[in-house]
Parts: sequence; C-alpha cells; structure tokens
Amino acid sequence: MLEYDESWIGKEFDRYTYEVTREEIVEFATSLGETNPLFTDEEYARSTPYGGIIAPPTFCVSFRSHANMPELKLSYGKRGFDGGKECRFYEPIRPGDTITGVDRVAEVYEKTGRSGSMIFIVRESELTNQHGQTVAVVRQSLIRRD
Amino acid sequence: MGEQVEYFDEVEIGDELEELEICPSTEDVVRYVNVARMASGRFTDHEYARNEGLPGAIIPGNMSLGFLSRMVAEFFPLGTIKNLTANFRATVPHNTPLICSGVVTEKAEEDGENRVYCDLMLTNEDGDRYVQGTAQVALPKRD
Repeated sequence: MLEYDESWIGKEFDRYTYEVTREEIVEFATSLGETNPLFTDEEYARSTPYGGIIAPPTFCVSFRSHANMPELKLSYGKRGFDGGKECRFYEPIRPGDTITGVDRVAEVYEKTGRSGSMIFIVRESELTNQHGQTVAVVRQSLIRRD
Repeated sequence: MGEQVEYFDEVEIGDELEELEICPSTEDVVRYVNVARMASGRFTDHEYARNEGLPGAIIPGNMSLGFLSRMVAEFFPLGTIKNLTANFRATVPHNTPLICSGVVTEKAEEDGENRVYCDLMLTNEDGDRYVQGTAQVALPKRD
C-alpha cells in the first residue's frame, strides 16, 4: 500500500536559470541532424514569421535541475527507472533568452499490474522566459518498485 | 527530403508520416549529451555502462524524443509542435539502425487551432519497440 509524505505535492523544490546562446541552439539542432534551417540559419529564420532562429522543441529538456527529488518517504520502491516524459510547448525559445525553471512534485500515484505494484512520481518543470511567459512544461515520470 | 504535408486540410486519419532512418554513433551521442547537459558514463562509456548492468552505452531518452520531434517537424514543415510524450520501453543501443515512424490518429479544432494527433514509435529494423509516444501538431488551413 502506497504511503508517502504528501506535504511535497505542488511544492517548489528547485529553481535554476540558464542563458540561451545562438551557438548552443545551433549545436543542439545539429547534434540531432535537424534539417529545418529555422534552427540553424539566421538569415533564413529572419524571413519567417519567427523573425529569427528559434530552438528545436525538445531543447527545453536541456535545462536541468541539479537538485535531487525531495525525500518522499515512500512505503516501498527500492528500485527506480524512467517511466517517460511529456513536453508541452507554449512559446519559442530564442537566443538571448533567460530561462528560469521551477521544479515541483506534481503527483504520486500507484498502479498495480501483472508484475506487481509500482509507484509513479511525476516531476514537473515549468520553464519561463525573461518576459514572464511560460515557454514549456516538462513532466517526467519516475517509476519505483521493489 | 521525403514526403511532406503542409496544411490541415491535406491530413487524413490513418496517414503515415514519412519515416526517419538514423544510426546514431557514439560520437553523435557524445555531441548531444554535451550540449544537452546530460553527461554521464552510461551514455558515452561502454565499460562504465556495462558496470551498471547495461549491455553497453545507451542513447538518452531525451535524444530519442529529439529524433521523434525531428521526424514530426520534417513531415509537417508548417506545423507547430504543441505536445510530445514518450514512454521508454527499452534501452536504445549506439550504432544500431533505428526507424522513427508515426501515424495520424485524430484531427480536431481546439482553442482556435487545427490540431493533428499522431502516435509515434522508435524501433530497430526488426520492429522491436524502444520508444512509444504521441505528438500534437497545430497546422494552418489552406486559404
């Protein structure tokens, strides 16, 4: 049966800031073999409605918190693995942006399948730019089981 | 560049996205993890990964998600990706031919946008499924 420290739900446990450069956007796009010049070619990007280079959508996962998850005092779940990810994109990320990430424990729930019970811990990272606009929300599910 | 779809009107449920075939090398993974701030021996050092019980160094889940995103963006060049999800079902090895594929499952007008919903997969050439995901893409309508 799942028991844990519910006081962490929705509470901020880390905050971090990154400055975005054109060079890292281009390098990120190139490392994935992106073919869209919107991510790499300033002259082309200026001719589009975006008015300049933007980052590929999944660039938002490169803003990483250095904090571990808070101790949730789970009643079981010695082993952990990555259960998946959801990214919601709201505004483009551009060179010169200052991105602030805020991490919270969004939810904790239990699922029981053929192989037994598992605990899902959802870590939510909300990323905001220097204009106060939310650019993306990344939700990562961590699975714990015995 | 293969087949592309530009407008919402041209999309039909059941349409298959143009597949993206890739074969990321260890060098490619090193380049990605450096810029994505994911440096870890499990992604770049085969011996380190084997000591962790893995068969060898693996491709990060975020990089797999990036390849799926690239496939979606290349197929819908005028689209804006609004949402991506991925479930990581198995570790993805380096230097293995991989196929990103997708299929349109739904079309809807939502919040004033024309959205296309897709199921996505990352497999090897034998069809073994490494990553399963979804995408929502906003597309313009033809004037």
